[in-house]
Amino acid sequence: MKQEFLSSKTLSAPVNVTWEITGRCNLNCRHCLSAGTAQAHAGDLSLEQCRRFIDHLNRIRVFQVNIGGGEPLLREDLLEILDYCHLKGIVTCISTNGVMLDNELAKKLARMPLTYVQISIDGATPETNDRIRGEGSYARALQGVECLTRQGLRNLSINTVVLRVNFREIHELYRLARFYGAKTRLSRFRPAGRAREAWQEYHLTKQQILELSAYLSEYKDVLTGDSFFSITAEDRKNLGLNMCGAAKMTCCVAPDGSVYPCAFLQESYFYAGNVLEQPLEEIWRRAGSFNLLRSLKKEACTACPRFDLCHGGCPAVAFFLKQELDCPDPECIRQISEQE
Amino acid sequence: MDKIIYKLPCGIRVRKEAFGLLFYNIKDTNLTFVKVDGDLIPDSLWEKGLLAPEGRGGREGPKYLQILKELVKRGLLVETRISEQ
Ligand code: SF4
Ligand code: SF4
Repeated sequence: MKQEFLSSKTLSAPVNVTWEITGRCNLNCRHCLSAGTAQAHAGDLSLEQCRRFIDHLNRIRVFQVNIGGGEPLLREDLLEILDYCHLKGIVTCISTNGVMLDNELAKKLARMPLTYVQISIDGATPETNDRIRGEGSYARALQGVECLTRQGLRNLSINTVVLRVNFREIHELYRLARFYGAKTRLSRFRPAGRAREAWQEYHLTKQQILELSAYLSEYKDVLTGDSFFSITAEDRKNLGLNMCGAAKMTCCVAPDGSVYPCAFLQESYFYAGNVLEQPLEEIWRRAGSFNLLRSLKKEACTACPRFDLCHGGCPAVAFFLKQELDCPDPECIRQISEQE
Repeated sequence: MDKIIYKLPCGIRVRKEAFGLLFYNIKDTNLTFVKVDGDLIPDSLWEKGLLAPEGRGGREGPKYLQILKELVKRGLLVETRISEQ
């Protein structure tokens, strides 16, 4: 039902906004999306600019802000930004590497009922995780999980980018999350930002994609956001959005206020404006790149029996792997099944 | 005399869209799309989170009440009685 509305009409404003509140980070992950983009090196918005932006989000009735970076906990005024969102009734979801979390900070976050926290861990063992995210990052992230659990944060998930090198540990990560009373969130590895350099080494094999599809059917409590609708079976159809939400439900605001359709489409080609110069509402309605994504017609997909489940997959992956937007997702279940 | 009003349940947000109403549940971040003539619903629902159903007569009256009942059934509105002094 939602697909029908989103395909035919433009929403008045995004439902949720991915807001990278800083380009700074204290880790150096090999598959980082944000590293290497121009925005990662631009300055961050000031607290006053953030407040004005949140006022605007409230006015246009954005429901949720997904706060990321860089590492959002590096912003000393993060709690003020969160408080201000909550004051306006906006739900926040913080995506963090977790290494700066201590009891004191965890306690403050746990007292914020409108906050969801996602901690990134990319392996069920320190060896696997640290090879990807850096020495010592597994132990520190897990300590962050423990602090949040101890303080009683309810909305906690462990987020893992599924890679060729951690694929065999996915179920162990699921058990780890359960042990802490957290949810498991699996994210797709997309060749954007620095991840392009690691693509050959890290992207899933055909066999792994097929196994992942079966795994997600078996473990329906695993959250996937918009990551895997191009590979999942009918039985997950109602567990999330089955189409790309970029410029239809969501958009991304970079640390310097630049707006893009999605965090994975932060290329000059998709630049849509800057919230310091133009209200997001106007950018949302008028930006050429947004309207381009809304009007994409993937001819090769229309006859596909999976079209209802997938709607052509992720344009970001198509853009980076095929330099096209209107082609099928190169890693969709149908495309990989046709590969010999 | 009691008067009926409709309120958004705790944790439910709503906004008006071209297709109708878009609800958001802060407890699980789920969205509900409801196809309806949004102009039938008074602005007080998105502005204050409540509405009083009176004052809609003619052909629209029954349709409007039907929409409200349906939204109550789906847990997107609650019906409350308040006493009119
Ligand atoms: S472009 Fe891909 S990553 Fe971005 S919103 Fe669409 S499906 Fe998701
Ligand atoms: S061919 Fe298109 S619709 Fe079919 S599964 Fe692939 S991306 Fe999805």
